[in-house]
Amino acid sequence: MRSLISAAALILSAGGALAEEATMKLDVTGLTCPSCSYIVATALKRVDTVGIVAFTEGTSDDGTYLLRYDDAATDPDEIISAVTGVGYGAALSPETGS
Amino acid sequence: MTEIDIQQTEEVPASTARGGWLATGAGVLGAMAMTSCCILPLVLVSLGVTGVFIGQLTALYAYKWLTFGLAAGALGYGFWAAYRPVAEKDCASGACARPVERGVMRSLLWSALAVVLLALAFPALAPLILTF
Repeated sequence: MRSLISAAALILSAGGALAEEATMKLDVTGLTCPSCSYIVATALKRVDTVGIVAFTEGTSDDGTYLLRYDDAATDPDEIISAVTGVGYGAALSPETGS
Repeated sequence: MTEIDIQQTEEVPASTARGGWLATGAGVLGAMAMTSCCILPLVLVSLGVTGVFIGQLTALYAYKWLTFGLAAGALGYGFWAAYRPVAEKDCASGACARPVERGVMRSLLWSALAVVLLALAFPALAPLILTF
């Protein structure tokens, strides 16, 4: 019985190791109003595991979000879709390394 | 010199009341237009509503001074119609709005004014009350 529990624990921990925390920079356009960056942030946070680390406001109605997410739970395409789904332009920043 | 005692009433002539109601309606619409660029989309997204129209609504921010001008003009006329003293003799024909209607008009005007002021102050308040 003890060996069975150990095996289960090992499998669970191995599964946890597969899920990795990733970061990405997302360029968003169309931030024309004072609440736009918050609207986009709300849409982003609705995606499973996504958290906003930082937001940098651009100079021409745009901005860059630094995001943290679990790449086992979601991917950049889903995150971009969340933003375009509320009517804003979004693209992976060229600065994104991972 | 003769003193003339003018009796005032809460009732207003029907034509003024009609204009006042139109102005009140325009003021309320103007207030809604002012929230449609910033506050309304934020509320909708917070409630789980999504759609490309959210981004299109926020694009209306570029016209905020136009909507403010229309709302301010309408509210100004509405307040004038709702609060202007009316001589009792002007209502002698019986064609006057009832005082209770004037009270409703005043409530709507004050509510619309509050919304317009909130929408105006929102850009300054947003960083204080909203977080990422």
